[in-house]
Amino acid sequence: MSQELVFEEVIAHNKQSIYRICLVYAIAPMEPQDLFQEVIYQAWKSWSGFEGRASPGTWLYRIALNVCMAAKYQDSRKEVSKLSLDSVEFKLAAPLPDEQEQAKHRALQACIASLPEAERSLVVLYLEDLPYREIAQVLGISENHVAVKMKRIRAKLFACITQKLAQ
Amino acid sequence: MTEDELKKIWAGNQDTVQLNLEQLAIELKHTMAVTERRIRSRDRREIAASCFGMVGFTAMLFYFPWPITKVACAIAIAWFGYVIYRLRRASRLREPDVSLPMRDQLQQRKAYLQTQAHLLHSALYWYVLPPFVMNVIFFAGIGDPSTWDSPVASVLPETLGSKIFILSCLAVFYGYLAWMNRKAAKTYYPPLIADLDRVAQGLQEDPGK
Repeated sequence: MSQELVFEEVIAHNKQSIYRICLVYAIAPMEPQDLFQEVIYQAWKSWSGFEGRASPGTWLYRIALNVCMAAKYQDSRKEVSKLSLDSVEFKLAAPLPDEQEQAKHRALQACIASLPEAERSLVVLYLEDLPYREIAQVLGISENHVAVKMKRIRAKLFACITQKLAQ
Repeated sequence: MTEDELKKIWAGNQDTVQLNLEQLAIELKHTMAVTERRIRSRDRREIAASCFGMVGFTAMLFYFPWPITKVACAIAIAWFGYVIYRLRRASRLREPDVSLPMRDQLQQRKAYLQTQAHLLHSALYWYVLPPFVMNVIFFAGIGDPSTWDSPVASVLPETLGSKIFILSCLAVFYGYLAWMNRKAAKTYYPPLIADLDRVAQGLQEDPGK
């Protein structure tokens, strides 16, 4: 299979996860759709340097988080042109029909947003069901450290959600 | 609430992303080519402007009769050469590698922002002072234009007062340039660098835990 096809497969397989991460990090005027396209573009640019030391999925998560975080460090004094790829189409879903589900979803988003940036990056990877070993590879820290941090963050997250849903 | 429930809520976002894979690679290749072309042409424009300056001052060096103005022209030529060198060096400064683990990427981004801030901060010494000093020498070296048989002589300042007036205007202009650069270096970059430090700190191992 050509490298181009492998790339397309990796993107197609992980697109929803990447979009969810972009949703967390998008800050106006940057929309999640803009971030998503930037992730795809940066992944394409870096693809030739992918050495296969991590799985393609882990590699893509790494790019997604780095690009999303970097968006706020872009030099706003320079003109930054937003990408507009016609081959990427977004369909925004209608609000969830179940009001309780909606409330839970809102509470989770608010609780994630309230976390410090480093913890937020751990949480999104954890919620994407990445094993600690892969989270460690994405962030460049030890697996043990991920476990220690996650224990605390999880407790914080549960407490926050419980409190928000009780309100 | 259990962990599984939490993950289910997280995955519950119903927005969908649809990709036209056949078109995607073509579009990405095209975007990359356009971006690279734009960067190359910007670099070329900046260097062409400096080359134009070098040629202009070389002509003036031979054309003007006064030795001190010739020295000023030589300084200008050297300065334009230095600007080309700085621009080429700056264009080699790559954006941080987004495929690195986040902790390494944060360090790289911090170094990148520090370099940008330093470039602005030091603009006074390499971008503002040299042309100003060159202008001072240039105008100080102009002799009596009425003794020079050239159409250019009529536009040159004759009296000390007119030279001081022109240099004062230039001093205000260059002072403003230096102030703008320093202001940007002091107000724009430090908060970003501090923020990066904070994120990197959050990923550090906690001592004693």
